[in-house]
Amino acid sequence: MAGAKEKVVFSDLDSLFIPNPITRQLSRNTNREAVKESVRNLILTNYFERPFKSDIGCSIRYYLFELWNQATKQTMENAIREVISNYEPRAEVIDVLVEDNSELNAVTVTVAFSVRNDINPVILNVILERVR
Amino acid sequence: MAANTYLQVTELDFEDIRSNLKSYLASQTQFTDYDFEGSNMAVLLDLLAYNTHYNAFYGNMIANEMFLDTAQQRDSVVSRAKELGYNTRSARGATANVQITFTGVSNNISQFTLPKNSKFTTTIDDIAYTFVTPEEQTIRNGSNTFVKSISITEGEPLTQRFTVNTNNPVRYVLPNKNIDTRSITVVVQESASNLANTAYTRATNIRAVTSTSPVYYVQECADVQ
Repeated sequence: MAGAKEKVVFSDLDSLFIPNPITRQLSRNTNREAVKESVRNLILTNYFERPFKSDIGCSIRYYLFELWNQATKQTMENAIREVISNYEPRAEVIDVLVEDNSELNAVTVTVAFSVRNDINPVILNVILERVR
Repeated sequence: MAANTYLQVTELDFEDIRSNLKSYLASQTQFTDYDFEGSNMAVLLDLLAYNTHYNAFYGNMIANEMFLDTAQQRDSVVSRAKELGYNTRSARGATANVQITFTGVSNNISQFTLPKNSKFTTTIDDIAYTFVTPEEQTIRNGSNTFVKSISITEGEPLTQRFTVNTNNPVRYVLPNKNIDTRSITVVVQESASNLANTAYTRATNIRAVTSTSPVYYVQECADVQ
């Protein structure tokens, strides 16, 4: 039905922690956005980063220091698939694409996934670049 | 907000604390992502649980160290023992009883002195040990032989100088660890130009001490000093 309010199944804090200017409440991410944020967090988490849960993450930034070839690219894609498969049961990965973005000295990660019980695919872009 | 908002606070382990926080959040209606490891809420929960675990561990250790029965650090045990008037025993150097025979000494000499802190060294299994004479020894001529049985103590004699401080009470901290306090001697020199000095003795009976008695007290302070 047009204009029908979507049922909130998943909700999460927004990582920016910016309050709503009117209600003064912290803004929330819901459904697809909540899962998208979760997948982004998992991709950007390094092993041993979370206390007492050393195996969460995929240490994707470490690959930035590897030689850039097909093997590295495939390893990165596999690492991303694995972490989502292990720790984000709400997302079903459709495809993962890791691309060299040498003009920006960066690597672009694109993850296409669908949220369980939702037919619309979600595209997540993460740009990995050196921090110094 | 749900009516049941009890938060269990009896746990100390990270996982249990996190689980309690999750149970608490489950009774709220605003958020529903605490079960998924990648969510921002999970990151916050980890942080909260870690902080709580850290403080719980810290509080537990403080409480342990406050009592003689449960204290684990030597400094804490020493401190608790002081409250009971007990002065902890220091490290002690091993003692060896040896018989020393001096050769090549002129027979005209009736006796000579082996000074305090005369060094003896030995090596056992490639480890060198130093022993010293804790007291001055007099070696007498016995039918042209100079033999004496003495006790020597393992350790390295050290001297520490302090400028006398008129504060009361005052303490002088010997910066070395594992001092054998039986071997401490205290000598106070009158001034930089006046070399006259007074030997102080260790006070063992407070009733025998007056305000002018040349005595010193020994207590262990932090870091086995």
